Parts: sequence; C-alpha cells; structure tokens
Amino acid sequence: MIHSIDPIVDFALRGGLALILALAAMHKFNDRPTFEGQLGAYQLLPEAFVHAASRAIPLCELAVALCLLARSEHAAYLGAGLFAIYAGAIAINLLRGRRDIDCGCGGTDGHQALHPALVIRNLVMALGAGAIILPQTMRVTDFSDYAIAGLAGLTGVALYLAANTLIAQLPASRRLKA
Amino acid sequence: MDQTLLISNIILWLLVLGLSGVVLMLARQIGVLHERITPVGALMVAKGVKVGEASPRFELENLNGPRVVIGEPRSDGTSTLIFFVSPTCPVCSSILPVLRRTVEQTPDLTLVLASDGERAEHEKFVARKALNDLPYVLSGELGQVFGIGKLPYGVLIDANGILRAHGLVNSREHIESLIEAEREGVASIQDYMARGTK
Repeated sequence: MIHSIDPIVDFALRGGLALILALAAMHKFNDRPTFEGQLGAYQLLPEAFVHAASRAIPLCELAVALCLLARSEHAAYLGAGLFAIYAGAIAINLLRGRRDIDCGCGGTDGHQALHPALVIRNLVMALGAGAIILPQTMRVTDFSDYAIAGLAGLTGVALYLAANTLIAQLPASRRLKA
Repeated sequence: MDQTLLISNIILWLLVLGLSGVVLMLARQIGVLHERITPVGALMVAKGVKVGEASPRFELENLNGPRVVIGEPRSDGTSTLIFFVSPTCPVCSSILPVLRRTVEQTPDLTLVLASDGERAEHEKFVARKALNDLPYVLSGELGQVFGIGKLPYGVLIDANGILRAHGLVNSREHIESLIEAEREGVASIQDYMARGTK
C-alpha cells in the first residue's frame, strides 16, 4: 500500500491536470452557445439550469486548475470529483443508449460522439487527481526535481491530447472498416 | 556509472517528450485524413426529392403565425430556405444566429424552420432561442419527403417551387454554399466538383 507520493509525482500531476483543465475551460469559453447545447443534450439538468450551468462549469474548471497550481490540499478532491462527475454523466447517457449526442469534451473540432473509452479516460483522470490526496514524501527538493516534474507533466498532457484525438476518431475509423 | 545513468536519463526524457509530440501530430493528421475522405461542403444525401424536381405541395401549421405553404410557385419571386432543426441538436442552436444574419443579407429569400416531434418541446425551444418572428413548422412527412437524415439540414426551393439545392449545414460557409449553388445552378459542391472534372 502506498502511503505517500514523491514530490515529483505530485508536481507533475498538479501541473498536468491544471493544464488539461485550463485547456478544457478555454474550449468551453470560446464557444459558449455550442457548449450550452451540448450540456442540454445530456438531459441531466432541469432546462432552467442549463444556461447557468454552461457558464459555471468552465469557471469551476479554471478554479480547480488554479487550486491545483496553488498546491491547495482540497484541489485533489475537487479535481477528482469533477472528472468523476463527467464520467458519470457520460456513462448515464451511454446506458440510456444515447451514443450520438455530442460529448463536449473538445475532440478534433469540438464534435465528438460519446464512447465508453471516454468514461475510462475520465476515471483515469479522477484517479490521477485522487493520487494528489496522498501526503508527499518528505525530502529536500531542488531545481532538477522541478525540471523532471515539468517534463513529465508536459509529456502526460501531450499523451492525453493524443489519446483524446484518437478516441474522437474511433467512430470514423469504424465507419471506414464497415 | 552515475554519470552514464544521468546522461541516459536526460536522453530518455528528451526522446519520450519527442515521441509524445510525434504521436500527437500523427493522431491529428489521421483526423485530417478522416475529414478529407468525407465529402466537403453541404453534404448532400441522395434520398428524397431530387434537385431540379418540383417540391410536393405542403400546407403546414405554423407555431408562430399563419399557415405556411411550401412547394407552390410564389408570385413575389422569393425563394424559400427550409431549415430542419431540433431542440436537442447543439450545432442547430449555435448556427441559428448566423443563419438569420445570412438570410437577412440575402435578398429574395425567406426562412422557414422545420422540425418534428412534441409541440410543447418546440414551443419551449422557440421561447428559449427567441424565434417567434420566424415561421416554424412541425411535420414528420416534410422531413421524409426531402430525405432528411442528419441535422441541421437546409433545403432551398426557388420561387417556382422547384428544389434548387439541399445539404447538411454545419457552418456559415455551408449556408452560403447552398445559396451560391442556387445562383450558379448546381445541386451541391460535390456536383460542381464532378462537373469540373468531366
């Protein structure tokens, strides 16, 4: 059982998750009407709240990103909660059989159908955020630790974006095979 | 030994970062390829009434005013753009303002919104998007006649009641391509390209 995580892992996770959340928030800010439509299509919120929620969600993401960077202890819970909620929302709609609604996860050009892989993706992200809850191992850190954490975080984000792009293309690839 | 490990580690980091970048670029290029092999422009689905044929006559109840007649020669010389939408389609909601502006800037064009389903749901949609000034008809048959499979879909009928252009509309360019197609007398971008290669 792991009782604590190394500072490098902590920094890398915080930096990477903050970057991903900030990118997601920017995506939603840039095209508010589309995001409002996507949120409405999930059919999870009463209609009266959809507009307000579509404005609040990007703000929440940005706030969690800032909390992560500020090394707040609660950021881990908030981040894990956010990703778990997304996973749940997608899973509910997949169970309802509504695969063709827009995910709103910012695929290649903002259009991405729901896919079970997205649930797994969000659960992995929630797990990553959850790992920050563990206390850091006490040791002296210096410049090289920050450098490695930065590289690891950046690599993680690049791989996340690549995986997301590939998930977004799964339906198109399947159509080609058929 | 320590020195070797250190250097090996630095090199490995650089390679991992480089590889991730390459994977990301590859994934994006696959996306571009997917886009390339699906048709461009307002995608025309080969079903229903064909371009150049007369549209069947419809007289439909309008949520926002007097009954709307479709597919009849019009004395005022205006064309009709029937725009098929749904309250649950995100692209439909985001494209409506653009559509309004484009239609206002185009002389001799009237816009009719069309959909299908529960009346109450559509009345809510009209109120939410402030569409009270546009004709809004509900008819499943209308969609079937024109072979509507995906939304938002535009169907352009000229003043003589002849179907001039139709296609899937996702952007301002797609709306313009429909209007342009009518002006140039081609059915769709695909049709225009096919003519160019002959």
